[in-house]
Amino acid sequence: MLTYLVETREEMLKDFDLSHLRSLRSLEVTASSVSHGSRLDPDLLRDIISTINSPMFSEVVLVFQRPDLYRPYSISFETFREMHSKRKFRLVFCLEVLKKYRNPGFQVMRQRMEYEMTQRRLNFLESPPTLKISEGNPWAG
Amino acid sequence: MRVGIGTLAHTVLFQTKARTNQFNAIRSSAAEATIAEQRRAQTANLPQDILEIIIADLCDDTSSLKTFSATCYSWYLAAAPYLHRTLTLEERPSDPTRAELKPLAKLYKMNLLPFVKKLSIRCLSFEPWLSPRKFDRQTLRHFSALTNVQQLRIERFDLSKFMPGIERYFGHFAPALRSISLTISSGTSRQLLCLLALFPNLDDIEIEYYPTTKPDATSSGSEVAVPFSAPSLKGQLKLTHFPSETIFRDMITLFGGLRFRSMDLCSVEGSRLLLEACADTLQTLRIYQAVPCSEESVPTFSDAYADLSCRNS
Repeated sequence: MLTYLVETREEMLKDFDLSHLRSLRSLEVTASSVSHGSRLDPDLLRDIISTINSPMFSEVVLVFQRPDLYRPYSISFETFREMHSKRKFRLVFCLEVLKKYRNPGFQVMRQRMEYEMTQRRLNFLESPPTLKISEGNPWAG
Repeated sequence: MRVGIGTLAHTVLFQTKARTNQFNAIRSSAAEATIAEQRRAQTANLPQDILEIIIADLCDDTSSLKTFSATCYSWYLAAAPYLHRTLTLEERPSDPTRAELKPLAKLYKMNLLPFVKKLSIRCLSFEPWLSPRKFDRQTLRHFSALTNVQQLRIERFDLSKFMPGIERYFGHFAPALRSISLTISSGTSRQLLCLLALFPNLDDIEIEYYPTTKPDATSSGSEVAVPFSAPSLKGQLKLTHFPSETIFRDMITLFGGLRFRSMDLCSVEGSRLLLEACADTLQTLRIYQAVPCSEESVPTFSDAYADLSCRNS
């Protein structure tokens, strides 16, 4: 019998009180969890990021896994704007796919980023987002 | 008479031509063989660093690597560690001769098992196939030759079947194992702790869909099992649908704290405890939004199974 934990917003805020993390540099969220149509609570990430005290914190990473690149959903950049109002950060678009999918995936991710920039959805950032590639799950594929 | 001399001359000429062609053919094939031999010698004598650059480029492309290794014996030797780096043991209903633990015998005979760095034990059926009954004396000897495995993944691992004495089956992974991944596995917190405690150099842990288990003696102070070793646990912790906090408390107590640098937590009971334990070391945190959802959207066992099947296909 499998049971699953479904937390309330208050429980999640309590669990993810990040104030005591002294070395935290980066907070990662997947594209699917911050997209319109997901069970998105726009205030939740804002409230979580406002608990960060680490002097090393500098970036929020938006992770694109392979299915994220080809799904038609749009990402709620309003969530990031809210987060940025609480704590300044550099936004990183991160591609997390296997080596064989990197080239086409990187093109799609870059196009999405450029589109969002032309739509002025990222104009709250001090500098344009950076792009990076991660190895992804070594067991996938 | 003139006709006879002409015929004789024609025959001699024909035979001479035939011999010349034969000689040329032999000379030509000998030359080709010499050229091929020279080329083979040249390629075989490529500097090791050049070979390594070529292999680094091919290491993710198994078919090209196989072609590369067929060039000559020295290239095969260079490619062998990469060709046999990953081993997958799984059910193969269509080919029982290569199913489950059967490939081990051949690889053992060819002395290739020490090359395996990444071992994946896959299970697509509901009933886990991996059990102590699969290990006869010979198979256990073959399995124990996998001494350099750094990454181990087991799907549908029923830990209780290997208790007590799990070290007999998995203890040989201890010196090299850095990363363990368990998917839809089952057992008590104490059994999971016993498994993790086998590996002193373990850095990364990934556990997906670990079912709720009955409370065991692990959390009750004096009854806690003494671990075989304290894993370093300095890498990544990835947990998905993990509804037991007990194991974290015991890990902190018995392993002298946690030192993970990266965490990926999705629907985990005890997130706060984990974050507090790694307050000085945690650099990267991945979180998922899991706000309350309706009853029908709560993931079920079938969801977990379908997710696994989808990733393996």
